[in-house]
Amino acid sequence: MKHYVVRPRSGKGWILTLAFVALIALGLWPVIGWFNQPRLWLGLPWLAVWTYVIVLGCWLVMLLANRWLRVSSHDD
Amino acid sequence: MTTSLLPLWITLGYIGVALFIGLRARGGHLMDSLEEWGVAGRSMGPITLYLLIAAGSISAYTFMGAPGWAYSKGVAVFYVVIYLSYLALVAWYCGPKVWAFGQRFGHVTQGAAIADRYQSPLLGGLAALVMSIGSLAYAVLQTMGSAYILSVMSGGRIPVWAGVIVILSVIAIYLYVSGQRAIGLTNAFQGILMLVVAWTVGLWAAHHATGEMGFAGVFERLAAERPAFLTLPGADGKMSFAFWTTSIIVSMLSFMPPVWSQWMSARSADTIRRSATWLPTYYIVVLPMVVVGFIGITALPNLGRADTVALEFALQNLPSWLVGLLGAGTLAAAMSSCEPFLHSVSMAYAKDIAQPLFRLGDAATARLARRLLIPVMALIVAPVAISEPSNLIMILLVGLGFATQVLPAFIGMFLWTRASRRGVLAGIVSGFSVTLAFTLIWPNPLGIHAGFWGLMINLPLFVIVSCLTPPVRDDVVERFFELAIPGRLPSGRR
Repeated sequence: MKHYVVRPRSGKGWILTLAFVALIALGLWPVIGWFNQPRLWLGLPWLAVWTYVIVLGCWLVMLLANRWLRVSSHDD
Repeated sequence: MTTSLLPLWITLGYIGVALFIGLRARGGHLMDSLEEWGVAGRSMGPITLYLLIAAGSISAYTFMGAPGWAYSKGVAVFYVVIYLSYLALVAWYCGPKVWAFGQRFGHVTQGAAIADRYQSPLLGGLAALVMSIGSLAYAVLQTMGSAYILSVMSGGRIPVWAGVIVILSVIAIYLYVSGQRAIGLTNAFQGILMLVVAWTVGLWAAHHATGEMGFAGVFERLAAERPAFLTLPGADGKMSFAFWTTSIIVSMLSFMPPVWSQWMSARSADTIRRSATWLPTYYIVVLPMVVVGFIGITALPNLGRADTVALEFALQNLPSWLVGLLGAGTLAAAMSSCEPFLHSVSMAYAKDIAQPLFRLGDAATARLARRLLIPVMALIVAPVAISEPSNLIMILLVGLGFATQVLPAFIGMFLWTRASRRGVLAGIVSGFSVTLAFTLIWPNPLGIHAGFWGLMINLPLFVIVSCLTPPVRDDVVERFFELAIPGRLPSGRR
Protein backbone atom coordinates (compact mmCIF):
# COMPACT_ATOMS: atom_id res chain seq x y z
CA MET A 1 0.00 0.00 0.00
CA LYS A 2 1.04 3.63 -0.43
CA HIS A 3 1.91 5.02 2.98
CA TYR A 4 0.99 8.53 4.08
CA VAL A 5 0.68 11.03 6.93
CA VAL A 6 -2.91 11.87 7.87
CA ARG A 7 -3.85 15.45 6.94
CA PRO A 8 -7.06 17.48 7.03
CA ARG A 9 -9.18 16.89 3.94
CA SER A 10 -11.03 20.20 3.78
CA GLY A 11 -10.52 23.92 4.27
CA LYS A 12 -12.38 23.81 7.58
CA GLY A 13 -10.22 20.89 8.66
CA TRP A 14 -7.09 22.94 7.98
CA ILE A 15 -8.53 25.95 9.86
CA LEU A 16 -9.28 23.77 12.89
CA THR A 17 -5.83 22.19 12.77
CA LEU A 18 -4.18 25.61 12.66
CA ALA A 19 -6.47 26.83 15.49
CA PHE A 20 -5.43 23.86 17.67
CA VAL A 21 -1.74 24.52 16.95
CA ALA A 22 -2.16 28.26 17.62
CA LEU A 23 -3.89 27.57 20.95
CA ILE A 24 -1.00 25.35 22.00
CA ALA A 25 1.53 27.98 20.95
CA LEU A 26 -0.31 30.58 23.06
CA GLY A 27 0.55 28.68 26.24
CA LEU A 28 4.26 28.21 25.50
CA TRP A 29 7.38 30.35 25.22
CA PRO A 30 7.80 32.91 23.63
CA VAL A 31 4.14 33.98 23.90
CA ILE A 32 3.97 33.27 27.61
CA GLY A 33 6.94 35.62 28.10
CA TRP A 34 4.87 38.59 26.90
CA PHE A 35 2.50 38.10 29.84
CA ASN A 36 5.20 37.48 32.41
CA GLN A 37 4.68 40.80 34.22
CA PRO A 38 4.02 41.41 37.95
CA ARG A 39 0.85 43.30 37.04
CA LEU A 40 -2.82 42.67 37.69
CA TRP A 41 -5.87 42.78 35.45
CA LEU A 42 -9.35 42.40 36.96
CA GLY A 43 -7.58 41.65 40.24
CA LEU A 44 -5.67 38.64 38.87
CA PRO A 45 -2.01 38.29 37.79
CA TRP A 46 -1.49 38.65 34.04
CA LEU A 47 -0.28 35.06 33.74
CA ALA A 48 -3.41 33.76 35.50
CA VAL A 49 -5.66 35.83 33.22
CA TRP A 50 -3.79 34.58 30.14
CA THR A 51 -4.16 30.99 31.39
CA TYR A 52 -7.92 31.35 31.54
CA VAL A 53 -7.97 33.09 28.13
CA ILE A 54 -6.38 29.89 26.77
CA VAL A 55 -8.95 27.79 28.64
CA LEU A 56 -11.72 29.86 27.07
CA GLY A 57 -10.06 29.60 23.65
CA CYS A 58 -9.88 25.79 23.85
CA TRP A 59 -13.56 25.62 24.77
CA LEU A 60 -14.64 27.97 21.96
CA VAL A 61 -12.54 26.28 19.27
CA MET A 62 -13.93 22.86 20.17
CA LEU A 63 -17.48 24.28 20.17
CA LEU A 64 -16.85 25.64 16.68
CA ALA A 65 -15.32 22.34 15.59
CA ASN A 66 -18.38 20.43 16.78
CA ARG A 67 -20.65 22.79 14.88
CA TRP A 68 -18.61 22.36 11.72
CA LEU A 69 -18.59 18.61 12.06
CA ARG A 70 -22.37 18.77 12.40
CA VAL A 71 -22.27 16.44 15.33
CA SER A 72 -25.64 14.83 15.63
CA SER A 73 -27.29 14.62 19.02
CA HIS A 74 -29.85 11.92 18.36
CA ASP A 75 -27.65 9.09 19.64
CA ASP A 76 -27.12 10.64 23.08
CA MET B 1 -4.55 18.86 64.21
CA THR B 2 -8.23 19.46 64.89
CA THR B 3 -9.90 18.53 68.18
CA SER B 4 -13.50 18.72 66.93
CA LEU B 5 -15.03 15.48 65.63
CA LEU B 6 -17.26 17.30 63.13
CA PRO B 7 -14.65 17.34 60.28
CA LEU B 8 -14.10 13.60 60.78
CA TRP B 9 -17.83 12.82 60.63
CA ILE B 10 -18.23 14.90 57.47
CA THR B 11 -15.27 13.11 55.86
CA LEU B 12 -16.53 9.67 56.91
CA GLY B 13 -20.00 10.66 55.66
CA TYR B 14 -18.48 11.38 52.26
CA ILE B 15 -16.84 7.93 52.23
CA GLY B 16 -20.20 6.32 53.08
CA VAL B 17 -21.97 8.17 50.24
CA ALA B 18 -19.20 7.23 47.76
CA LEU B 19 -19.50 3.57 48.79
CA PHE B 20 -23.29 3.64 48.41
CA ILE B 21 -23.09 5.25 44.95
CA GLY B 22 -20.34 2.88 43.85
CA LEU B 23 -22.35 -0.20 44.84
CA ARG B 24 -25.57 1.12 43.28
CA ALA B 25 -23.75 1.89 40.03
CA ARG B 26 -23.89 -1.77 38.99
CA GLY B 27 -27.63 -1.34 38.35
CA GLY B 28 -28.36 -5.01 37.62
CA HIS B 29 -25.67 -5.39 34.96
CA LEU B 30 -23.70 -8.63 34.90
CA MET B 31 -20.01 -7.93 35.44
CA ASP B 32 -18.78 -11.16 33.85
CA SER B 33 -17.07 -9.60 30.84
CA LEU B 34 -14.41 -6.92 30.36
CA GLU B 35 -16.81 -5.17 28.02
CA GLU B 36 -19.01 -4.52 31.09
CA TRP B 37 -16.59 -4.40 34.04
CA GLY B 38 -13.83 -2.72 32.04
CA VAL B 39 -15.60 -0.15 29.86
CA ALA B 40 -19.17 -0.08 31.27
CA GLY B 41 -20.64 -1.63 28.13
CA ARG B 42 -19.57 1.53 26.24
CA SER B 43 -22.63 3.25 27.65
CA MET B 44 -21.64 6.52 29.31
CA GLY B 45 -23.42 9.71 28.32
CA PRO B 46 -21.79 13.14 27.89
CA ILE B 47 -22.39 14.52 31.40
CA THR B 48 -21.14 11.41 33.23
CA LEU B 49 -18.14 11.21 30.90
CA TYR B 50 -17.39 14.92 31.41
CA LEU B 51 -17.35 14.51 35.19
CA LEU B 52 -15.52 11.17 34.95
CA ILE B 53 -12.62 12.61 32.95
CA ALA B 54 -12.61 15.94 34.83
CA ALA B 55 -12.62 14.42 38.32
CA GLY B 56 -10.12 11.78 37.25
CA SER B 57 -7.66 14.45 36.12
CA ILE B 58 -8.12 16.55 39.28
CA SER B 59 -6.18 14.65 41.92
CA ALA B 60 -5.22 15.43 45.50
CA TYR B 61 -2.66 17.66 43.79
CA THR B 62 -5.36 20.30 43.25
CA PHE B 63 -6.21 20.50 46.95
CA MET B 64 -2.71 20.00 48.36
CA GLY B 65 0.04 20.23 45.74
CA ALA B 66 -1.34 23.18 43.75
CA PRO B 67 -1.82 25.45 46.79
CA GLY B 68 1.66 24.28 47.84
CA TRP B 69 3.12 25.33 44.47
CA ALA B 70 1.39 28.73 44.73
CA TYR B 71 2.79 29.06 48.27
CA SER B 72 6.37 28.19 47.31
CA LYS B 73 6.64 29.27 43.63
CA GLY B 74 3.68 31.52 42.70
CA VAL B 75 1.95 31.75 39.29
CA ALA B 76 4.09 28.90 37.91
CA VAL B 77 1.29 26.67 39.23
CA PHE B 78 -0.97 27.73 36.33
CA TYR B 79 0.94 25.51 33.89
CA VAL B 80 -1.29 22.71 35.23
CA VAL B 81 -4.47 24.46 34.06
CA ILE B 82 -2.95 25.00 30.60
CA TYR B 83 -1.87 21.40 30.06
CA LEU B 84 -5.20 20.09 31.36
CA SER B 85 -6.94 22.24 28.74
CA TYR B 86 -4.61 20.88 26.06
CA LEU B 87 -5.44 17.35 27.23
CA ALA B 88 -9.05 18.24 26.36
CA LEU B 89 -7.90 19.07 22.79
CA VAL B 90 -6.09 15.73 22.66
CA ALA B 91 -9.24 13.98 23.93
CA TRP B 92 -11.35 15.76 21.30
CA TYR B 93 -9.05 14.59 18.47
CA CYS B 94 -7.93 11.13 19.63
CA GLY B 95 -10.82 10.05 21.90
CA PRO B 96 -13.38 9.40 19.12
CA LYS B 97 -10.81 7.37 17.16
CA VAL B 98 -9.94 5.26 20.22
CA TRP B 99 -13.64 4.71 20.84
CA ALA B 100 -14.14 3.64 17.21
CA PHE B 101 -11.18 1.21 17.38
CA GLY B 102 -12.59 -0.28 20.58
CA GLN B 103 -16.11 -0.54 19.26
CA ARG B 104 -15.08 -2.04 15.91
CA PHE B 105 -12.18 -4.27 17.01
CA GLY B 106 -13.26 -5.07 20.59
CA HIS B 107 -10.34 -3.42 22.41
CA VAL B 108 -10.90 -2.78 26.11
CA THR B 109 -7.36 -1.74 27.06
CA GLN B 110 -4.66 0.49 25.65
CA GLY B 111 -2.26 -2.48 25.44
CA ALA B 112 -4.79 -4.44 23.36
CA ALA B 113 -5.01 -1.59 20.84
CA ILE B 114 -1.19 -1.38 20.58
CA ALA B 115 -0.89 -5.18 20.21
CA ASP B 116 -3.52 -5.16 17.46
CA ARG B 117 -2.12 -2.19 15.48
CA TYR B 118 1.41 -3.60 15.47
CA GLN B 119 0.37 -7.28 15.44
CA SER B 120 2.58 -7.82 18.48
CA PRO B 121 1.21 -9.10 21.81
CA LEU B 122 4.77 -8.61 23.09
CA LEU B 123 4.69 -4.87 22.36
CA GLY B 124 1.19 -4.57 23.89
CA GLY B 125 2.25 -6.47 27.01
CA LEU B 126 5.47 -4.50 27.35
CA ALA B 127 3.64 -1.18 27.05
CA ALA B 128 1.06 -2.33 29.61
CA LEU B 129 3.73 -3.52 32.04
CA VAL B 130 5.80 -0.38 31.99
CA MET B 131 2.74 1.93 31.96
CA SER B 132 1.67 0.12 35.14
CA ILE B 133 4.76 1.40 36.99
CA GLY B 134 3.64 5.01 36.64
CA SER B 135 0.01 4.02 37.28
CA LEU B 136 0.82 2.19 40.51
CA ALA B 137 3.06 5.02 41.74
CA TYR B 138 0.20 7.44 41.04
CA ALA B 139 -2.30 5.22 42.90
CA VAL B 140 0.08 4.93 45.87
CA LEU B 141 0.53 8.72 46.04
CA GLN B 142 -3.24 9.28 46.04
CA THR B 143 -3.72 6.59 48.70
CA MET B 144 -1.08 8.24 50.88
CA GLY B 145 -2.86 11.59 50.40
CA SER B 146 -6.20 10.00 51.39
CA ALA B 147 -4.74 8.41 54.53
CA TYR B 148 -3.09 11.71 55.48
CA ILE B 149 -6.44 13.53 55.18
CA LEU B 150 -8.17 10.94 57.38
CA SER B 151 -5.39 11.30 59.94
CA VAL B 152 -5.67 15.12 60.01
CA MET B 153 -9.48 15.12 60.09
CA SER B 154 -9.50 12.66 63.00
CA GLY B 155 -6.98 14.71 64.97
CA GLY B 156 -4.48 11.85 64.66
CA ARG B 157 -6.93 9.22 65.96
CA ILE B 158 -6.80 7.31 62.66
CA PRO B 159 -3.16 6.39 61.95
CA VAL B 160 -1.90 6.34 58.37
CA TRP B 161 -1.87 2.52 58.13
CA ALA B 162 -5.52 2.34 59.20
CA GLY B 163 -6.45 5.12 56.77
CA VAL B 164 -4.79 3.24 53.91
CA ILE B 165 -6.75 0.09 54.74
CA VAL B 166 -10.08 1.94 55.06
CA ILE B 167 -9.70 3.82 51.77
CA LEU B 168 -8.45 0.86 49.74
CA SER B 169 -11.15 -1.43 51.19
CA VAL B 170 -13.92 0.98 50.21
CA ILE B 171 -12.51 1.39 46.68
CA ALA B 172 -11.97 -2.39 46.36
CA ILE B 173 -15.57 -3.17 47.30
CA TYR B 174 -17.26 -0.90 44.79
CA LEU B 175 -14.69 -1.45 42.04
CA TYR B 176 -15.05 -5.24 42.34
CA VAL B 177 -18.84 -5.04 42.32
CA SER B 178 -19.45 -2.34 39.69
CA GLY B 179 -16.17 -1.82 37.78
CA GLN B 180 -16.06 1.14 35.40
CA ARG B 181 -19.69 1.99 36.17
CA ALA B 182 -18.65 2.65 39.79
CA ILE B 183 -15.79 4.87 38.62
CA GLY B 184 -18.20 6.79 36.39
CA LEU B 185 -20.84 7.50 39.03
CA THR B 186 -18.49 8.06 41.99
CA ASN B 187 -16.36 10.41 39.88
CA ALA B 188 -19.49 12.32 38.88
CA PHE B 189 -20.37 12.77 42.58
CA GLN B 190 -16.77 13.56 43.50
CA GLY B 191 -16.45 16.03 40.61
CA ILE B 192 -19.47 18.07 41.77
CA LEU B 193 -18.31 17.91 45.41
CA MET B 194 -14.81 19.15 44.51
CA LEU B 195 -16.16 22.11 42.54
CA VAL B 196 -18.45 23.21 45.38
CA VAL B 197 -15.82 22.69 48.09
CA ALA B 198 -13.00 24.44 46.20
CA TRP B 199 -15.02 27.59 45.53
CA THR B 200 -16.56 27.69 49.03
CA VAL B 201 -13.15 27.31 50.69
CA GLY B 202 -11.43 29.73 48.28
CA LEU B 203 -14.00 32.52 48.64
CA TRP B 204 -14.29 32.02 52.42
CA ALA B 205 -10.50 32.12 52.82
CA ALA B 206 -10.22 35.26 50.64
CA HIS B 207 -12.97 36.97 52.67
CA HIS B 208 -11.25 35.97 55.90
CA ALA B 209 -7.90 37.33 54.67
CA THR B 210 -9.00 40.55 52.95
CA GLY B 211 -12.61 41.22 53.97
CA GLU B 212 -13.64 40.97 50.28
CA MET B 213 -15.67 38.32 48.43
CA GLY B 214 -13.11 38.20 45.64
CA PHE B 215 -9.44 37.49 45.03
CA ALA B 216 -8.22 40.98 44.05
CA GLY B 217 -7.11 41.98 47.55
CA VAL B 218 -4.92 38.87 47.84
CA PHE B 219 -3.03 39.63 44.63
CA GLU B 220 -2.84 43.40 45.23
CA ARG B 221 -0.99 42.73 48.46
CA LEU B 222 1.38 40.27 46.73
CA ALA B 223 2.04 42.69 43.87
CA ALA B 224 3.04 45.32 46.41
CA GLU B 225 5.04 43.13 48.80
CA ARG B 226 6.18 39.95 46.96
CA PRO B 227 6.04 40.55 43.16
CA ALA B 228 8.32 37.56 42.44
CA PHE B 229 5.30 35.30 43.11
CA LEU B 230 3.46 36.86 40.13
CA THR B 231 5.99 35.97 37.42
CA LEU B 232 8.18 33.14 36.14
CA PRO B 233 10.62 31.70 37.18
CA GLY B 234 8.69 32.05 40.47
CA ALA B 235 9.73 32.84 44.00
CA ASP B 236 12.14 29.88 44.18
CA GLY B 237 13.55 30.60 40.69
CA LYS B 238 12.98 27.04 39.44
CA MET B 239 10.23 27.41 36.79
CA SER B 240 12.11 28.78 33.78
CA PHE B 241 10.38 29.38 30.42
CA ALA B 242 12.10 26.23 29.14
CA PHE B 243 10.78 24.06 31.97
CA TRP B 244 7.28 25.60 31.73
CA THR B 245 7.13 24.94 27.98
CA THR B 246 8.57 21.42 27.99
CA SER B 247 6.52 20.35 31.04
CA ILE B 248 3.32 21.34 29.23
CA ILE B 249 4.34 19.52 26.04
CA VAL B 250 5.37 16.35 27.87
CA SER B 251 2.25 16.32 30.06
CA MET B 252 -0.20 16.83 27.18
CA LEU B 253 1.36 13.95 25.22
CA SER B 254 1.04 11.39 28.05
CA PHE B 255 -1.68 8.94 27.08
CA MET B 256 -2.25 7.26 30.45
CA PRO B 257 -4.21 3.97 30.33
CA PRO B 258 -7.19 5.10 32.48
CA VAL B 259 -7.91 7.94 30.05
CA TRP B 260 -7.99 5.37 27.25
CA SER B 261 -10.55 3.29 29.22
CA GLN B 262 -12.62 6.42 29.86
CA TRP B 263 -12.79 7.21 26.14
CA MET B 264 -13.81 3.63 25.37
CA SER B 265 -16.58 3.81 27.98
CA ALA B 266 -18.41 6.51 26.02
CA ARG B 267 -21.74 5.84 24.39
CA SER B 268 -20.54 7.20 21.05
CA ALA B 269 -17.76 9.12 19.35
CA ASP B 270 -19.91 12.28 19.57
CA THR B 271 -20.23 11.84 23.33
CA ILE B 272 -16.45 12.11 23.70
CA ARG B 273 -16.29 15.24 21.53
CA ARG B 274 -19.02 16.93 23.54
CA SER B 275 -17.45 16.01 26.89
CA ALA B 276 -13.98 17.09 25.74
CA THR B 277 -15.39 20.40 24.49
CA TRP B 278 -16.67 21.32 27.96
CA LEU B 279 -13.73 19.84 29.90
CA PRO B 280 -11.70 23.11 30.08
CA THR B 281 -14.60 24.80 31.90
CA TYR B 282 -14.10 22.41 34.82
CA TYR B 283 -10.57 23.61 35.46
CA ILE B 284 -11.82 26.79 37.13
CA VAL B 285 -11.80 24.42 40.12
CA VAL B 286 -8.04 25.01 40.42
CA LEU B 287 -8.21 28.82 40.84
CA PRO B 288 -9.77 29.14 44.32
CA MET B 289 -7.51 26.49 45.84
CA VAL B 290 -4.46 28.19 44.35
CA VAL B 291 -5.64 31.45 45.92
CA VAL B 292 -5.58 29.76 49.33
CA GLY B 293 -1.91 28.97 48.68
CA PHE B 294 -1.25 32.63 47.80
CA ILE B 295 -3.00 33.73 51.02
CA GLY B 296 -0.71 31.36 52.94
CA ILE B 297 2.39 33.24 51.73
CA THR B 298 1.63 36.07 54.15
CA ALA B 299 -0.66 34.26 56.63
CA LEU B 300 1.58 31.21 57.25
CA PRO B 301 5.12 32.37 56.41
CA ASN B 302 6.99 29.64 58.29
CA LEU B 303 5.23 26.49 57.12
CA GLY B 304 7.42 23.35 57.10
CA ARG B 305 5.62 21.53 54.24
CA ALA B 306 4.25 23.68 51.42
CA ASP B 307 1.62 21.11 50.37
CA THR B 308 -0.14 21.36 53.75
CA VAL B 309 -0.83 25.10 53.32
CA ALA B 310 -4.55 24.78 52.44
CA LEU B 311 -5.26 22.36 55.28
CA GLU B 312 -3.22 24.36 57.81
CA PHE B 313 -4.95 27.59 56.82
CA ALA B 314 -8.34 25.91 57.11
CA LEU B 315 -7.56 24.36 60.49
CA GLN B 316 -6.41 27.69 61.90
CA ASN B 317 -8.96 30.03 60.35
CA LEU B 318 -12.08 28.32 59.00
CA PRO B 319 -15.14 26.86 60.82
CA SER B 320 -15.18 23.13 61.60
CA TRP B 321 -17.87 22.31 59.05
CA LEU B 322 -15.82 23.91 56.29
CA VAL B 323 -12.69 22.06 57.42
CA GLY B 324 -14.72 18.86 57.17
CA LEU B 325 -15.90 19.79 53.68
CA LEU B 326 -12.30 20.51 52.64
CA GLY B 327 -11.32 17.08 54.00
CA ALA B 328 -14.14 15.45 52.03
CA GLY B 329 -13.24 17.40 48.87
CA THR B 330 -9.55 16.51 49.13
CA LEU B 331 -10.42 12.88 49.77
CA ALA B 332 -12.78 12.94 46.77
CA ALA B 333 -9.96 14.30 44.60
CA ALA B 334 -7.56 11.60 45.78
CA MET B 335 -10.03 8.71 45.45
CA SER B 336 -11.39 9.82 42.06
CA SER B 337 -7.84 9.71 40.65
CA CYS B 338 -6.74 6.57 42.49
CA GLU B 339 -9.55 4.23 41.46
CA PRO B 340 -9.21 4.53 37.64
CA PHE B 341 -5.49 3.68 37.91
CA LEU B 342 -6.13 0.61 40.10
CA HIS B 343 -8.85 -0.53 37.70
CA SER B 344 -6.69 -0.05 34.60
CA VAL B 345 -3.68 -1.85 36.12
CA SER B 346 -5.82 -4.90 36.97
CA MET B 347 -7.28 -4.91 33.47
CA ALA B 348 -3.88 -4.49 31.82
CA TYR B 349 -2.28 -7.32 33.82
CA ALA B 350 -5.17 -9.66 32.99
CA LYS B 351 -5.89 -8.68 29.38
CA ASP B 352 -2.51 -7.60 28.00
CA ILE B 353 -0.15 -9.88 29.93
CA ALA B 354 -1.92 -12.94 31.42
CA GLN B 355 -4.32 -13.62 28.53
CA PRO B 356 -1.70 -13.94 25.75
CA LEU B 357 0.81 -15.59 28.11
CA PHE B 358 -1.53 -18.32 29.43
CA ARG B 359 -3.95 -18.38 26.46
CA LEU B 360 -6.95 -17.58 28.65
CA GLY B 361 -10.49 -17.30 27.33
CA ASP B 362 -12.36 -13.98 27.54
CA ALA B 363 -14.54 -15.06 30.50
CA ALA B 364 -11.52 -16.28 32.49
CA THR B 365 -9.66 -13.05 31.69
CA ALA B 366 -12.59 -10.95 32.95
CA ARG B 367 -12.74 -12.95 36.20
CA LEU B 368 -8.99 -12.60 36.63
CA ALA B 369 -9.08 -8.82 36.09
CA ARG B 370 -11.65 -8.38 38.91
CA ARG B 371 -9.79 -10.72 41.24
CA LEU B 372 -6.43 -9.08 40.54
CA LEU B 373 -7.73 -5.89 42.20
CA ILE B 374 -7.23 -7.48 45.62
CA PRO B 375 -3.57 -8.56 45.27
CA VAL B 376 -2.69 -5.32 43.46
CA MET B 377 -4.08 -3.35 46.41
CA ALA B 378 -3.04 -5.69 49.25
CA LEU B 379 0.42 -6.67 48.03
CA ILE B 380 1.60 -3.56 46.18
CA VAL B 381 -0.35 -0.35 46.87
CA ALA B 382 -1.10 -0.79 50.60
CA PRO B 383 2.40 -1.84 51.79
CA VAL B 384 4.10 0.86 49.71
CA ALA B 385 1.63 3.55 50.87
CA ILE B 386 2.01 2.56 54.53
CA SER B 387 5.81 2.67 54.28
CA GLU B 388 5.52 6.24 52.84
CA PRO B 389 8.63 5.98 50.63
CA SER B 390 10.58 9.19 50.14
CA ASN B 391 11.54 8.36 46.54
CA LEU B 392 8.01 7.71 45.32
CA ILE B 393 7.85 11.05 43.51
CA MET B 394 10.92 9.93 41.60
CA ILE B 395 9.25 6.63 40.65
CA LEU B 396 6.19 8.59 39.54
CA LEU B 397 8.23 11.03 37.45
CA VAL B 398 10.03 8.16 35.73
CA GLY B 399 6.69 6.41 35.19
CA LEU B 400 5.07 9.49 33.67
CA GLY B 401 8.20 10.16 31.64
CA PHE B 402 7.79 6.70 30.17
CA ALA B 403 4.12 7.32 29.44
CA THR B 404 5.15 10.09 27.07
CA GLN B 405 7.72 7.84 25.40
CA VAL B 406 4.90 5.56 24.16
CA LEU B 407 3.93 8.43 21.81
CA PRO B 408 5.27 6.67 18.64
CA ALA B 409 2.76 3.86 19.15
CA PHE B 410 -0.04 6.45 19.01
CA ILE B 411 1.42 8.35 16.07
CA GLY B 412 1.30 5.06 14.18
CA MET B 413 -2.31 4.61 15.24
CA PHE B 414 -3.67 8.09 14.42
CA LEU B 415 -1.31 9.85 12.01
CA TRP B 416 1.29 7.79 10.11
CA THR B 417 0.62 4.51 8.29
CA ARG B 418 4.30 3.60 7.83
CA ALA B 419 5.05 3.26 11.59
CA SER B 420 6.55 -0.19 12.13
CA ARG B 421 6.73 -2.49 15.15
CA ARG B 422 10.50 -2.18 15.39
CA GLY B 423 10.36 1.58 14.90
CA VAL B 424 7.96 1.95 17.81
CA LEU B 425 10.06 -0.36 19.96
CA ALA B 426 13.26 1.55 19.13
CA GLY B 427 11.59 4.86 19.93
CA ILE B 428 10.13 3.67 23.23
CA VAL B 429 13.33 1.99 24.48
CA SER B 430 15.62 4.90 23.53
CA GLY B 431 13.21 7.54 24.83
CA PHE B 432 12.71 5.71 28.11
CA SER B 433 16.46 5.26 28.62
CA VAL B 434 17.13 8.96 28.05
CA THR B 435 14.23 9.98 30.32
CA LEU B 436 15.48 7.63 33.02
CA ALA B 437 19.04 9.00 32.82
CA PHE B 438 17.90 12.62 32.76
CA THR B 439 15.63 12.04 35.76
CA LEU B 440 17.95 10.03 38.01
CA ILE B 441 21.52 10.92 37.00
CA TRP B 442 21.42 14.41 35.47
CA PRO B 443 17.99 15.87 36.28
CA ASN B 444 16.42 18.03 33.56
CA PRO B 445 19.60 19.31 31.77
CA LEU B 446 19.50 22.99 30.68
CA GLY B 447 16.22 23.36 32.55
CA ILE B 448 14.41 21.18 30.00
CA HIS B 449 12.04 18.43 31.16
CA ALA B 450 13.64 14.95 31.06
CA GLY B 451 10.67 13.55 29.13
CA PHE B 452 11.20 16.17 26.41
CA TRP B 453 14.85 15.12 26.03
CA GLY B 454 13.55 11.56 25.70
CA LEU B 455 11.17 12.61 22.91
CA MET B 456 13.97 14.37 21.02
CA ILE B 457 15.81 11.05 20.73
CA ASN B 458 12.72 8.88 20.57
CA LEU B 459 10.87 10.47 17.64
CA PRO B 460 13.74 10.70 15.09
CA LEU B 461 14.78 7.13 15.89
CA PHE B 462 11.17 5.96 15.55
CA VAL B 463 10.90 7.51 12.08
CA ILE B 464 14.29 6.25 10.85
CA VAL B 465 13.84 2.67 12.10
CA SER B 466 10.25 2.56 10.79
CA CYS B 467 11.44 3.55 7.32
CA LEU B 468 14.19 0.90 7.40
CA THR B 469 12.09 -2.04 8.68
CA PRO B 470 9.04 -3.82 7.25
CA PRO B 471 5.69 -2.08 7.88
CA VAL B 472 2.74 -3.78 9.53
CA ARG B 473 0.48 -5.85 7.21
CA ASP B 474 -1.56 -3.72 4.79
CA ASP B 475 -4.95 -5.09 5.85
CA VAL B 476 -4.26 -4.19 9.49
CA VAL B 477 -3.10 -0.65 8.66
CA GLU B 478 -6.06 -0.13 6.34
CA ARG B 479 -8.68 -1.14 8.90
CA PHE B 480 -7.15 1.23 11.49
CA PHE B 481 -6.80 4.20 9.13
CA GLU B 482 -10.23 3.70 7.69
CA LEU B 483 -11.38 4.95 11.11
CA ALA B 484 -8.50 7.34 11.86
CA ILE B 485 -8.82 9.56 8.80
CA PRO B 486 -10.78 12.76 9.57
CA GLY B 487 -14.31 12.68 8.25
CA ARG B 488 -14.56 8.90 8.15
CA LEU B 489 -15.36 8.44 11.81
CA PRO B 490 -18.78 7.19 12.78
CA SER B 491 -20.76 10.01 14.37
CA GLY B 492 -22.67 7.67 16.65
CA ARG B 493 -23.04 4.05 17.67
CA ARG B 494 -23.01 1.62 14.77
